[in-house]
Amino acid sequence: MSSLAKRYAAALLDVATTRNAVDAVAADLEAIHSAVTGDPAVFARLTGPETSQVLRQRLLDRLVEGRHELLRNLVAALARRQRFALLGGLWPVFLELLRAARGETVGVVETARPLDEGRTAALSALAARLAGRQVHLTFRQAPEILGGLRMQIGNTLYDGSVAFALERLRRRLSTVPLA
Amino acid sequence: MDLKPSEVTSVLKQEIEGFHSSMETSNVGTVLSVGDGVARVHGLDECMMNELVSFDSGASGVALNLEEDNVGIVLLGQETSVKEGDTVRTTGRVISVPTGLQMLGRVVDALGNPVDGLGELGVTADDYRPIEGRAPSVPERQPVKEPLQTGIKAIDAMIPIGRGQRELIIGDRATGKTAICVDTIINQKETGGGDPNDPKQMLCIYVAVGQKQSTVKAVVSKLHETGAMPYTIVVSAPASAPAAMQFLACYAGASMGERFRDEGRHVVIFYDDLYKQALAYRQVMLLLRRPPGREAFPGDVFNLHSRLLERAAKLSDEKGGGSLTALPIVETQEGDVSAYIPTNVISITDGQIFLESNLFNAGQRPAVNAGISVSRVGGSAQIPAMKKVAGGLRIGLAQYRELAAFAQFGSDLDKATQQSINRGRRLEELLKQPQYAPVPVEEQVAVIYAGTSGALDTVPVNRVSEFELRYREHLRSAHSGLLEKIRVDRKWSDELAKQFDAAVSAFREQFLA
Repeated sequence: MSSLAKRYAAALLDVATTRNAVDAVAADLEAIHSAVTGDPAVFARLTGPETSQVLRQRLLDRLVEGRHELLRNLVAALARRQRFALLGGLWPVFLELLRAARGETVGVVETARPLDEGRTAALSALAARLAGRQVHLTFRQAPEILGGLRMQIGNTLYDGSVAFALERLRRRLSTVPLA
Repeated sequence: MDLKPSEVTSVLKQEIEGFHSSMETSNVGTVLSVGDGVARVHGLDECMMNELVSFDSGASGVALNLEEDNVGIVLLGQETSVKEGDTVRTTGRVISVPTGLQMLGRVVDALGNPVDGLGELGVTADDYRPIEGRAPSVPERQPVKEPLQTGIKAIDAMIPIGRGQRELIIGDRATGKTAICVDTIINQKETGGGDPNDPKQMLCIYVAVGQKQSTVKAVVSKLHETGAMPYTIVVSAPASAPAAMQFLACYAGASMGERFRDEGRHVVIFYDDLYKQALAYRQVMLLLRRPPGREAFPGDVFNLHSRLLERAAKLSDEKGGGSLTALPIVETQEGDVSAYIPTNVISITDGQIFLESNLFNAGQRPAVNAGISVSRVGGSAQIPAMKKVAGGLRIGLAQYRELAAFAQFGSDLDKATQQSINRGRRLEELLKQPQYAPVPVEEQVAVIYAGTSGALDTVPVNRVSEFELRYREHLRSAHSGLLEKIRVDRKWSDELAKQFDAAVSAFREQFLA
């Protein structure tokens, strides 16, 4: 995450919070983000040096059309400072800050086989207990871990996978003391 | 290599039995960029300073920069295997090295891994110590009081080093800096017969930073040859090692020494050399984008050396009375001792031994400039006999140097001047010493007394070295009682002086005949 994107995102979140418009701003920012990054041609047009000022302004106008006022101001501010590339990186940073502000965090659970309803619920409860706050868990299938599970909450990784246990065993065996 | 099958089976059993509980928690991050031995990592928000981290590929690194949105990590080898996007895990361990008696006689790298091809070290997890240690505080220390005998006449007599002192060895390239280290290590065999388990045996640690591997090999071979290796650890971070390893090697060596020091042993550690260490540190810090200061060194380059050298200490008796003596080496360029790193280290240490290339080329070896070399605390550690005798040596040489300048101009010199110059030439000749031939302190006292008492004045200058060698042999065979007396009592008396006067004049007649 670039610290520049973080600055813009933090400022946006602050203003949105004081205006009680966090949800609307978040939804609109996500929409802009997907419009910009969803089509590589748009992004290239927006940031490319060969694009003329007029064309770029028209593109930006179309992007913010009907969006929240704060976002229109933000895009105008970015345009004034020639920071068009930031438009693509703002949303993930904003989302992270938003979740931190709400006391939530995200997590990923990787298992070799799909989990049933009961297990996922139990894991969500476990994750919330471990992290001490609400965790948005995503469940993913990862055959390469062979068995067990691997759960990452924020930057903390709980690794109980067979792949890792085997790796650890390999390391220990290769450092067995020699007589 | 001999693999014990039972060992492997036991590892397997443990692993299988404990399998269900084997959940490992670690803090993770993602590599943003990697290059020049430095990786920037996003995440790792619980990473500690100096913590070891491991990469997906098996490479490891040390966290040196903890910033708001990324962590700067220097890689310890295998840098080509690290890719952008790789996962990085913390290990919960700050960088640490194995220590203890098992390390003696071995050559290891900056992380304590053996590089001498002699197999595993045989250390346990308890033997590991973090490489950064806290220096002993004031109440934990006591003044330096025991001598460290280098076996080099010029140093032991005029620039004495005490146990727990920090004495800088400074000079241009090829002036014999490393030779002083090797001679000192060889001479430590005297203290305990070379048996590392004897508590009186001085232990030695030689840290080679940024040197050619061939130089390190030559030192190690010499130590093996002279039987000095059993009480010595060589920490080698050659010029081909990553820069991070080169600046960490000194701290690794210091930790190994501290273990012995805290166990009440006496240790001497050589950092060869701190200038190259500072260069390696500068490289890493510039890559980590720390702001450069004078000569592009980072602002904390003074602290880099001061915190290292502060770990040398003579511990109080309550703390076991062990000592760690540090002999750092700094290489100068064109004899410029007022450059940044030399002045820093001079100000930290308790004295310096200046080696000069013009002395070296003139055949004065060791090329110690006795005039400007000093030892600020070692004098109190000299044995009384040496102190008494060396006083005359210092005065004799000082007078000689003053007069020698005049002597170049005219031939009309009065008798007293002529006499001083003659004496001085012989004293200078007396301080010459071949490499790998340390002289025991009692023999040093005897030959220096012979020089300062005027017994050599009638010996031709070009025969002084020969005289010294044969006189020492003669003393060992015919007057071992006298030498023994100095070694045991350590005192000097008028009676002893008379006996030596008689011995030297009898020998001189025989020598000159």
